[in-house]
Amino acid sequence: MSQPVTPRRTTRSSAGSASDPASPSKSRPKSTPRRQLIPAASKEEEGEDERSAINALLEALPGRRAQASDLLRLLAPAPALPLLLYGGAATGKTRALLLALRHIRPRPRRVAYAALRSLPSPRALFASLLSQLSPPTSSSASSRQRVPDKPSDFVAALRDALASLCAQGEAVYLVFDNLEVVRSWDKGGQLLALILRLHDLLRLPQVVLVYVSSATPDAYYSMTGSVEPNHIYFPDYAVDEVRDILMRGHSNPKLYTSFLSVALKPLFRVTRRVDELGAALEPLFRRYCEPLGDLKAVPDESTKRRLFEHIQPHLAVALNETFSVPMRASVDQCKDGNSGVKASTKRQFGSRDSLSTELEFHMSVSAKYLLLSAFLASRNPATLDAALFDSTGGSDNHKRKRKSSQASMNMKDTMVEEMLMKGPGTFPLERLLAIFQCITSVSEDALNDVECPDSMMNGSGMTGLMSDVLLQLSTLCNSNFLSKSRSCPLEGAARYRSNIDEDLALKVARSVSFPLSKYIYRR
Amino acid sequence: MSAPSGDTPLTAANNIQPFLVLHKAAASSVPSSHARRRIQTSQPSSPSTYLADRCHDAARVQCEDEGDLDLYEQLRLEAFQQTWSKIQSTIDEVLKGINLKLFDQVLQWVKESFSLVRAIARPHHTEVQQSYPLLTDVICKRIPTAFILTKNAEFVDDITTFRDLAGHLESNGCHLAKLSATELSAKHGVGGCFRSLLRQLLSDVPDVAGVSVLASWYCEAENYDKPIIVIIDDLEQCSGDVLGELVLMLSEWVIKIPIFFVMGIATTLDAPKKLLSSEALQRLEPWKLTLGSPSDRMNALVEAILVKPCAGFCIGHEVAMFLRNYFFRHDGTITSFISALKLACSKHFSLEPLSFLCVGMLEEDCEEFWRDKFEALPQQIRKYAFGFPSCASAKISSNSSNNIIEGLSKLLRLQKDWGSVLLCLYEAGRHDKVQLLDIFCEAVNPDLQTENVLFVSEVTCESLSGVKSGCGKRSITQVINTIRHLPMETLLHVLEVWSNHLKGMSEIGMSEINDKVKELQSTTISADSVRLAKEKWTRRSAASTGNGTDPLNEKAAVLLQDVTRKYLVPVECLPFHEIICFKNVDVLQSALIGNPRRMVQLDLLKSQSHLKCSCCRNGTAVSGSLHDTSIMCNLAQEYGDVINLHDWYMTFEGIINSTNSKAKRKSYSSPSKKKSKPSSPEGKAMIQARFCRAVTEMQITGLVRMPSKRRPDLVQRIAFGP
Repeated sequence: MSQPVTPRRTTRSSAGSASDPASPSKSRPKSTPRRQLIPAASKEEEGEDERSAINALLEALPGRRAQASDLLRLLAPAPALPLLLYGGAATGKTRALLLALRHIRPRPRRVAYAALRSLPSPRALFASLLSQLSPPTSSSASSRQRVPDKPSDFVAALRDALASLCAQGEAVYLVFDNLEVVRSWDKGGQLLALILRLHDLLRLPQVVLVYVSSATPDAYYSMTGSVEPNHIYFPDYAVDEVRDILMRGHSNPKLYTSFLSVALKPLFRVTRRVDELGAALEPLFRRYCEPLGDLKAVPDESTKRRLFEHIQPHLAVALNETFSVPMRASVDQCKDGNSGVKASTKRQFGSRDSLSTELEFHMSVSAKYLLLSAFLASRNPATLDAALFDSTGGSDNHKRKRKSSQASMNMKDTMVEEMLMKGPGTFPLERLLAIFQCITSVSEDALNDVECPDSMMNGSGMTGLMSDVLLQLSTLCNSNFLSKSRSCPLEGAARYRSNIDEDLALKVARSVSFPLSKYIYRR
Repeated sequence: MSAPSGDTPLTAANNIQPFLVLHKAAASSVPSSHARRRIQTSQPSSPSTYLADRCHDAARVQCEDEGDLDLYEQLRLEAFQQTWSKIQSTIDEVLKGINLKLFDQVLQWVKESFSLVRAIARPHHTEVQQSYPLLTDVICKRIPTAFILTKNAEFVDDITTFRDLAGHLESNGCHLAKLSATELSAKHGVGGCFRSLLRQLLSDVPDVAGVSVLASWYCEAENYDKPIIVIIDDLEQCSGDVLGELVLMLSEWVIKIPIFFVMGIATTLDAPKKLLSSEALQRLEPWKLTLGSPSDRMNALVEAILVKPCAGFCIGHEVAMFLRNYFFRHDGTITSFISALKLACSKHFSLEPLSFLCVGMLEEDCEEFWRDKFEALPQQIRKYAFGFPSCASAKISSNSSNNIIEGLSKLLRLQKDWGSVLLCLYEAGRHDKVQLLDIFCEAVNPDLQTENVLFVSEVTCESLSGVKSGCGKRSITQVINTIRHLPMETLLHVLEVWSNHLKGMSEIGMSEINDKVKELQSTTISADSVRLAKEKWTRRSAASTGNGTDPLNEKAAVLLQDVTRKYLVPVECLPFHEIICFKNVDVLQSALIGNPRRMVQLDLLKSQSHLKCSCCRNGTAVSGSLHDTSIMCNLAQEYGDVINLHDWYMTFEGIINSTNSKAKRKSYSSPSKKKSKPSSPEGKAMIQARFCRAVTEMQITGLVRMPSKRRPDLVQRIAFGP
């Protein structure tokens, strides 16, 4: 049950009438054993309650024993200092906190939770906190209330809201999750200081401030003069802990254990984040089960070996892809693809890049040439244009080869190195158009073969291709192949830069059979 | 590109130059021949000057029947509207059919994802509205996301696709919001983008909007238990930071509020990887869907509009080639192809006097329709109809209406046969990735008929040597070669489709062919069942050696070749095809491509012929009575890449002064009296001012570029050539 705000008595009464499905999540068989464990714990006698609560908490938080007991200790009778939970992403901070808040004695009177990530502005934060603290009867009306603009107004409003709650004598918890997000907000520094100093500003002993952040305390408390809070560090999980977490709630633990023994270790070397591992392992497990007819069966040694051989190639692929998006084909393609899987698997991990030598999307021929010329303009130094695109179209390369002294060779080397370090260069529109004209005039002959000689496009030659170059240019800019620097559009002084990598450029060149490698400057 | 033609008068309706459109209304309101004569156009000088002449003839014919002119113009306009609405509806149907498959896939994906999300947890209303996350066993909260690959770098075609997709999903019980690249820009930030998302879902968006507002809206009874789909149609143009933040923000809530993304990607799947941070990527559960590629859509469109006679309008070979090149080389969008086709259609109906007969193609009793219309025609137009060169070559000389009706029905019949044969060719060719547009372009080539003898011998030649099969020029040859190497199952399928295509044909010859196909099919089946195992073995060996194809394949190929030779008669070889077929590619090209800078320059150079004033008639020398900019443009022709400003000014001054002195001699009373003394400082200032204004005008029209700092006395020429 995920209702930490409700006073404990209600929870118990609902749990006491065991058959009564108090909440929909409980009535559904899907809800996991762990989720039922917690209200079940409250059924126990008062004396054992404390210990069993901790046990339940520890059960729900594998690998977080120390942190959980710290949490219970630091949160329980209204502490004097704020609390900061920090640690890397997906280390269970929020989960531990929410579970702990459910178990502490005395029960918290009210919890206001603000996930800063899902609040787009400071005002939204103020509104969200105030509406959570105001009495539930007027909650619909409170959203219509005026939301304070200034931080000072907010503090005043917050104190009003809290004072009435605190008068009843029980603790109120204010939780700020994803605190690190605020730093990137507009005027985030001021807001961050305000949030961190709330303890000093409010001076209400019943109010417990809890911050959850993926950044360390140094990031916050070095600059503000506020009191340093208690903090709890959540370290990354170890491999066994990850296994425990992943194992939870699996229908066939034996099978999954054998799978994890194969797949977890290699992937763990790549990433330690549980969420990433979970996402990466899920499709792999499906693959792993493919040869099995019955998913409930307990695998014996020979099956395990067979499954291992089946999964190994896919594992190798997955290792390279952990940070990329695993794409799934559509249903039809899946069905078609299944037959071809065996044939393609070998090819897949042999040379994955060769899989897609063809251009996957449609572009008009002139756009392709424009893209190629942009690529060349970005890659080659401008001083080389004259040599590459002379009147003969750069076809006689031997002319350029001349004996050069050692010194000039060295200089060239450093220049090339410099170019590589700088990445793709920028170029003005004129240079792009000049190269475009050159390479289209060279390949005009090739195009003539393809089309019928009596077609009229030949009459006007490549001027036909030139006619709407600017349109094509904007298309390329829109699809992020080129980026354009901002400057006065009338003067035409904008500079462009091509963002494509050589693979794509080569693909495009192949599709129009243009000898790109002849024009790329390299040594 | 265009040069002034003779002084042939044109009706305003026949006036096709885009820059004279403004005159149209005036001319039609005053339908006197005098008014018309004043509008002199520069008819494009084209290789097919015949067509222009024909238009002029037609215009002349019509001039004599003033009263009928309006009537026929009206008829043609109606015919155009009827024809185009038919074509448009066909296009819509075809595109809808193609898209529907994708839409259903998306819908299925939405349903599956929704049930998956609901399987994780089924939160109660109160739980959804709580601000803190649900405690579930889900390790990673990921938003189901469909990446739709549109497979075209150009985005225009897909705007309608995504609009239709939104409609389709909404009608199937999803909440829908569309975010565009402008909303997902760094300027608006994630707040603005989220606000516009809310605005599309909620009727009343509060002043301060967080996700909790969305949650409480979602908990209302009529909104609950439906997925929310957010469509972002052009992912590449979005700001990666903002989109990433939005993804992170919504992914926290995905179990409580099932929001799914549908994103359109124009290029490759690398686009989201490049755009989004790995953290945001991790929160997406992607699913790839692909749209039909533009060439697939093109094939479907060509089949529906051009091959099957859907509207009684067709295009000639040159126009087809032009459209094909325009599609593959320049634009690559279906949208512009359709607009080009529409332009061709409208040009046809406005240029061809008899084009209103096209509509007859769609009538139930077309012969009756044509008889009615043709009997009513005045003598001149009838004569004109028999003056078509296609009639001359077919030696139809008598003037009776029966002839033309017969001719048109034959045309219609042969067109249908032609279409069926073409589809047969395509059915075989699609296994070798031959595009229908290519086959179409080849099949409308009027030289095809004359080449046929040669063509057969070439086929045998080629099949022996086995070279040059991939050449685009001979896609029909390629198709026939493909047949020879088709595997048996595919061949069977192809034969089945053939018999379907040929079924509709009424002609005796066609049914004969159909019988042959049937026969072939039956032999194939029997042969197939008998020696299936053996077949495979031999086929493999045949493929490896390259010679010695299967006899059945050979038979099919011979049959197809035969049918092609007999029935693939290009429309341009038939009498009276001018009525339904649009061939004037120059008109289409100038209307489509325009080339404004060049036109401006040409008009400046030839301003005398446009203005028709009395003063500057003398053709060769640049006269001072011309407009200043026109003088300057003429003078600029004498220079190369750069123009020396001083020289330019001096010549300009010389020309102005010479006119002024001439004017003085002739003692005109004009305001130029003041300028008569060229040495006076006032006159010089005036000339300088005029010079400056002319240069600026040329700069604005894009003919010259202003001097650079390095060389302040030289302007650069941008536009060249006469």
